[in-house]
Amino acid sequence: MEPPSNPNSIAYSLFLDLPTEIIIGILSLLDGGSLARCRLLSTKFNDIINQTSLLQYIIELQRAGYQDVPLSPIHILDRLESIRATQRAWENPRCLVNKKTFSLPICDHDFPDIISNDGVIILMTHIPTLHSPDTAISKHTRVDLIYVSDILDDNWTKSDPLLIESDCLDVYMSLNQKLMIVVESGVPDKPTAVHFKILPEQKPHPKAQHPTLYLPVHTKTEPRDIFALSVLGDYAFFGTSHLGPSLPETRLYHWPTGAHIKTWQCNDTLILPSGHVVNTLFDLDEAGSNYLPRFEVWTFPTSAQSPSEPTLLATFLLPPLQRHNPPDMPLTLNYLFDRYDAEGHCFKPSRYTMISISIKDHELFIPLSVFLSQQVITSTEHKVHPWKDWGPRHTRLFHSFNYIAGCGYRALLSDEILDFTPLPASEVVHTVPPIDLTKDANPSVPLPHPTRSYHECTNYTGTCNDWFKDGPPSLPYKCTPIDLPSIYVPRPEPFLFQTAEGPKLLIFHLEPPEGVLTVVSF
Amino acid sequence: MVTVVVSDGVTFTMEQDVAFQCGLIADFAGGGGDQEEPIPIQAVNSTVMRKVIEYCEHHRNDPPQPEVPEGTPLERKDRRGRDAWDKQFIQVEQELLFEIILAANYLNIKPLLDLGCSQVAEMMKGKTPAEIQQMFNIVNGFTADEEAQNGEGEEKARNLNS
Repeated sequence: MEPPSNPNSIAYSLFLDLPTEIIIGILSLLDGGSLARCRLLSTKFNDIINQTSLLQYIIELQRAGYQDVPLSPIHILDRLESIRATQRAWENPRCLVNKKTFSLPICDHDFPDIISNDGVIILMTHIPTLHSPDTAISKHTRVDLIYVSDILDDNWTKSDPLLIESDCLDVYMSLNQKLMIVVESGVPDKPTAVHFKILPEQKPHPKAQHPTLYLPVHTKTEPRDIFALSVLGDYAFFGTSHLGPSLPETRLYHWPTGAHIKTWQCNDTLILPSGHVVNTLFDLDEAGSNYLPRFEVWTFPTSAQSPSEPTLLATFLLPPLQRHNPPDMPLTLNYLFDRYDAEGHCFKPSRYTMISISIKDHELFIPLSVFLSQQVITSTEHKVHPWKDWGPRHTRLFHSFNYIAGCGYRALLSDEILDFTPLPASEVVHTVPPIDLTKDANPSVPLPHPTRSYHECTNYTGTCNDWFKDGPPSLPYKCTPIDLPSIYVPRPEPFLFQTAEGPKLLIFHLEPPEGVLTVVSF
Repeated sequence: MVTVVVSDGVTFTMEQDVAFQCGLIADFAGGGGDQEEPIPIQAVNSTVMRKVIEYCEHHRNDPPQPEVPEGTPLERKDRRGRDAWDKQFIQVEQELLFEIILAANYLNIKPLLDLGCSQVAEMMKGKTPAEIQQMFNIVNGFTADEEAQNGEGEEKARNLNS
């Protein structure tokens, strides 16, 4: 809605004339960034916001990047205190770190997303523009791409913004620096679009310059959702799932994303029941010249009445991908716990549930991701099944859950972040074996869970029940404590990258009205 | 039937299921039965009351709202979503919008109050403080020092946006 043509015709502010509890009600509907800026409106707004714990909570929530569970019985003051405790912890790290902060050339509409592959790091800020609540078509999102690969030299490059007609999009970068922009329509009968952009390239209207593909997704009754999308080399992989319950299935696709792609080559479809998490992840082969991508399919508890730990059901191996310009970097695994089904509902936990794990010479480096989880985790024991006592939707600080390839489970469950000690190589109970990805090859080393070859996967036409008829596999991993210098990293989505000087963390937070990027060295 | 008389003397008569969406009228009318005397509603004028009744008539068949426990944050999020009719309904002049909010608050019509509040929030989203100040005619009342500090921040934010 436009402001009145002549605002001076209103002698006093009707807004400020509202009872305070209604003003609070209105402000509580704002996102944290907008709310933080409302402090600048007037002394009255400033006072109201500073004196209302609910509004403080909303701001702190967004500053920290947490998500909330609205119907949790945990009182607002307890939640606020939880967040502030982790924020204080961040100010007082328990080991020696060097923090270097930069003001980000972004506004506070949204936190930046970060994507990185092969040494190029891109920050993206999403800025909704042309805001109109009533005409969905007029919603655009401006995406600024900020190259920070040379962040250590104290400068960055900002590309021309992309203007995209949607407020719901994801951007992915392939290993050879292609950008794939997925614009989720969210509208039945309107397909979700995928745009490609090759980097580095600076054109004012990339949308018109690049091929648009429409996902072969039928949205007759309900919008589908894309998840677990990953772009590797010339391939992109994704799954789709329904937002509604009536068509419970998950499909996995992959297709080449070459520059001249015009049509889909996406015959490789796997249908799974809903309630699964599909992780797209990859290792390097021994020579370091190829990526070995794979899907992992996890199942999650579907009801609070029958709690069980998440279980790895199967791994699907995909063809190896040649590595372009391999940098001198150790392997980083990205685990996407993107969407899953809990208590029968699809929901998006948080983009911050992405956990990066770096493995080098049996050393682990784990940026700890913190978010307000939908699960209550009461066990703090380290064992193979650490996810216990799933309750209904409670809110609780939850530090991290990592499934570490080759090293077993790691769950960090308490408010204390645990210390780790280096794991001697002799105690590594399982390492990811080199996998021969030729057709129908039998892995020379038995994998710890049922593995289907790519060929087998793509030619599979049966049902999921047939596929898993032997039942879910047990996990033979042994949990052994691993130590590294500990640091409180309570903010979400710290992004880890390796340099010649050792690992560094990139962390974003909001200090209205600007964003701050912190680079942490160890 | 329930009859009310508003501040400018206009009388409205409506059916009970429409009227009882207003918590105030439901409380006033008590256990039911036709009221002989019109219920005085001094805090609302006839223009606003017409809008309120329009809303109540449209939503007369809605199921009752689930109770949300007190003390839960962001509690409004799960309440009744805005449908197309609601959106159209609340597209009104700013002055009327605030009067509707006040009336909904006074008459205790929670969904309408939520609708009005979310409309105001919608208007505020994505706007700079200066734009919001202008839109709602807000005088900030900061001291010169505070102003300078804020101005600096805003300036920075604007530069960063451009």
